[in-house]
Amino acid sequence: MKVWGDYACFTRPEMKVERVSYDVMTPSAARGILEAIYWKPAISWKIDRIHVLNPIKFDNIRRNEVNSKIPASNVKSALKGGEVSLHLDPNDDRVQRASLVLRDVCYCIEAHFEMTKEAGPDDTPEKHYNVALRRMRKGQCFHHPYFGCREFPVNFEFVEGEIPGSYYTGKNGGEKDLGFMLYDIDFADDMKAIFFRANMVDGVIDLERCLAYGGVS
Amino acid sequence: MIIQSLCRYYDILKDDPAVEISEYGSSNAKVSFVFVLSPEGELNNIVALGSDDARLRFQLMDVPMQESRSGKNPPPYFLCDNAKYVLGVEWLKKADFQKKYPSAANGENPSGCTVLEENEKGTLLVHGPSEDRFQAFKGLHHEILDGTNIPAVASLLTFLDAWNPETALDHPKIQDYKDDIFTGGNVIFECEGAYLHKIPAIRALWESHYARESAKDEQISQCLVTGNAEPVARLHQKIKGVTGAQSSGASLVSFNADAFESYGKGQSYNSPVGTLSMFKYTTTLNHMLASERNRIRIGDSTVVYWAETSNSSCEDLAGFFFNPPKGKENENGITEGEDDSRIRDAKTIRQMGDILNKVRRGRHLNRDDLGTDADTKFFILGLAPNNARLAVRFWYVDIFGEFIEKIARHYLDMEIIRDDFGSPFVTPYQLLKETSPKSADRKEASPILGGLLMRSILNGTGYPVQMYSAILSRVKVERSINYARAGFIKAYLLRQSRSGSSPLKEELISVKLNEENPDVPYRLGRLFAVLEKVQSETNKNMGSTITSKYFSSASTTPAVVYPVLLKLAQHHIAKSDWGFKTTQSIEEILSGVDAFPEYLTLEEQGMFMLGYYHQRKANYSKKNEKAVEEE
Repeated sequence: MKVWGDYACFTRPEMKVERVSYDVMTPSAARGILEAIYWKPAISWKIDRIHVLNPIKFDNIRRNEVNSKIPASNVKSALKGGEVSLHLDPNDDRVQRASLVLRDVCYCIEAHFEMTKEAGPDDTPEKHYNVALRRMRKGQCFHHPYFGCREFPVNFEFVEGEIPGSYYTGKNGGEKDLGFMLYDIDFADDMKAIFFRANMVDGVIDLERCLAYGGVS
Repeated sequence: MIIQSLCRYYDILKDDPAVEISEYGSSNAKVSFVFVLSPEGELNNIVALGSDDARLRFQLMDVPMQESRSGKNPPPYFLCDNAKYVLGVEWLKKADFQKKYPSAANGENPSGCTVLEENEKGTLLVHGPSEDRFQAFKGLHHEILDGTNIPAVASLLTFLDAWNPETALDHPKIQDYKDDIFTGGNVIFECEGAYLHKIPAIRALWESHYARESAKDEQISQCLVTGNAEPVARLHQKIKGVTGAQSSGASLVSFNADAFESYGKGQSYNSPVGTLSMFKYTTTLNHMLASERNRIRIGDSTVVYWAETSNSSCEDLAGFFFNPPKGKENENGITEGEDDSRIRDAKTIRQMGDILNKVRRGRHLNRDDLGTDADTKFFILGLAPNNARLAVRFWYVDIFGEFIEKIARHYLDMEIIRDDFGSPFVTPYQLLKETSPKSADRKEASPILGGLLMRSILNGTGYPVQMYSAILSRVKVERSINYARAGFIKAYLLRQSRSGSSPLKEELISVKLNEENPDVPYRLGRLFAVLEKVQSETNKNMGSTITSKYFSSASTTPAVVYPVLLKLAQHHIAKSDWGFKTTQSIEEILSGVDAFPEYLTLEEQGMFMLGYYHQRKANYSKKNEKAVEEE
C-alpha cells in the first residue's frame, strides 16, 4: 500500500505537548491507516515493513488546540440521563501549540492480518483478504485515514507488483538508526507503551527484524 | 532522538575531567549565602557568595538534587534551600501581604501571623505556611541524618532544633543581611571548614535516601531512551536559561493540562522516560544553556549545539560560524548583535576564510581544515518558550564537516559588495532583525522565521519566501537597502535559480555590478539609482526626493512611474554639470529595455533591488568617495 501526503505528525510521546514528530511513520500509525480502510473484529493488522520513499523533511507550524477534555464522568452521567453539558468551547479554552511536523511524506506499507479470537465460522482469511483488497483498489475507507493528526489526510493507493525505490537506497551505507520508536500500545496490559529500536536499511524498516533485535518489553 | 542524544552527550561530558557537570542525585543551584555553624550548633557567621556586582549575588553550585517544586505543600530540599525553609521566615510584598491578611490594611495586627518587620516595600513575617516549611525542612534532615555520628551533622541538627523563626531578627548576623537573605536566595551550611553537602559521608546518606525516594512512587515501564524496563519519572526537571521562558525554568517534557494526556495516564507517564535518563538529559541541557560556548540566540529561539566528542574545537568553530567575529565598528544600519565582547581570534578568522575558499572551489573539507574529525556527529537544537513549556523549533543532526560546509555555503551565497567597514559576515540573528521595522519597540522578527531560516541554512535548501518578502517590504517601506538585505535578496534569488524554480539564470545574480546583465528589472533598478544620483547632484537639500516618493512604486509598477521619472530627470540633467554623462548612462542602461513592465513579481522586485544596490555602490565607489548611505 502506498500512502502519501503533504504533512504528517507522528508525535513522539516525550514531546507530545509541543509536538515533535518521529522521523518516519510509526507502525501503529500504519495500522491506523489500514484500519481506516478495512477492519473487522475478526482480524488484526500486523505491519511487516515500512518503506520510506521520500527524504525526511521537517517544518514547524503552530496550531490552535484546546486545553481540556470532556471528562469521562460527564459522559457517564449523561448516559445515565443526567443533565450535564457535553461540549468544549474552543474560544474559551484555546491554547496555541507549536509542532515540528514532517513535510511531503510518502511511504509504502507492507502488512498482513491475523485472525483473532473473535473470528466466527464465516470468517475465512480469504474472505477478509479479498474484501480488503477490493476496498484498497477502489480507494474506499470507513473514515479518511490520516498521518498522525486528523489535519493531515492520507492519500492512498494499492501497489500491485514492484514497490517503488526509496530516496535512501544506497545512501550512507544504507543504514540509519532512528532510535527507539513507539511500536504500539499494549491495550491488554494497562495500555503500556511498547517501544522498539527502529533501524532503517535502504529506506526500509523491517519490523520483524527490528523486533527480533530486541528492545520490546 | 533529541533526548537520546542529550543522554549520550551527558556520558561524554561526565567522563571529561575538564567539564563540571552534576552527578546523579545532585543538581545545580544558585547559592547566595553560607551559614557557618560552630560545632555546638551556633550560627557563627554568614558569608555572602557571588561577586559584588549588583546583578550576580549568587554562585552556581552542585548541591543535592532539587526537583521542581509545585503545589500547596512543596517539599524542602536537602542542605540547600531558601530562608522560607531554612529559617521559617517569609518576606511578602506589600500587596501580597494585604491580599493574604486583609485586616492588616486597616492597621490592625492580623491574627495567625507574627510580623517581624514592616516597611513600605513589604513585610517580613512568620506565619502558618512558612512555619510548616521550616518544620518540613527540619523533619527531612532528621529523617536522613538521625543516627549518624558525624560531628557536622550534630551541629546542624542542634541548630535546627534550637532555631525559633520568631526571633530570627534578634540574631546580629541575620540582621546584617536581612535585605537579601529573605528574598529567595539559597543558603548552604558550613561547619569546621567544609560545606555540609560536600562531606562524603553525608553525600552517601543523601544518595541512598534519594534512590529510595525515587523508587518509591515510580512505575516500572519501558524507557523510551534506553529501551529497558526501569522506573519512570513522573515529573521532569525544569530547563532553565531559555530566553523568554519563565525564570524558574520551563519543561521540555510536561503534561500540564487534560488534553495533553492520553490512554488514562497521568503526568509524564504519558512518555515513559527512565529517571536516570530524565536526569541526564535535563542536566546536559541545563549545563549547555548555562555555558556561553554552546548557546546562541536566533530570533526568539535559544539554540544549543554540541558535537559528540569531548574535543571542544568543534563547538568553538561552530560558535564562530554562528556568531562571526566583527570587523570594525559597524555603521551600516545593521543592528549589532548582543555579543560585542567576543574577542577576535585571528587564527579562527583565517581558518574560516580558508574553509570558505575551499567550499567556493567545491572541495571537500578534511581534518586539517576543521582541526577535528569531519565525521563527528553534530547536533543543533532550537528551543522556544510557549507558556510554561518549551517547544522544539528545529532539530538538526549531521556530521560536522557537512554542517560547516552548509553554513559556509550560506555565507558564500550571502556574499555581496559592501563598504570597507562593517563585518564581512551577517549573523542569522542580525539577518532576522532586518525583517522588523527599525522604529518598532520590540525589534523581534516573526517567531516562525528563525526556525525556517535556520532550516534552510542547515539543509542548504531555498530560503523561506516569508523572510524574502519581509525583507523586500522593509526595503520598500524604509526605502533603504543595506548589504545585509541586499545579501539576503541575492542569496534567495541564487538558491531559487539553482533549484530551477525561477527563470533567472544563476550567473546573472552577481556579487557586484554587472553592466552586461540584460535582465529588465535589474536594469530598471540600476536606472533608478542613476536618476536618484542626478537628482541629488542638482538639488542638494531637498525635503522629498524621488526615492522617498517613487521607490516603492518604481519597484512594483515601473510602467506607471518611469515615464514620470524620466521626464523629471530631464530637468535635473539640464541643470547638472554632468548632464551629458548621465544621459549617456541612461541610454546605456535602457538599451536592452523595450518597454517598461506593468508590474514586477516578487523575484523581479528582488532583481530590481539588487540592481539598485549594485549601481549605487558603483556610483559612489567610482568617484572614490565614502558612500553616504541611507537618508
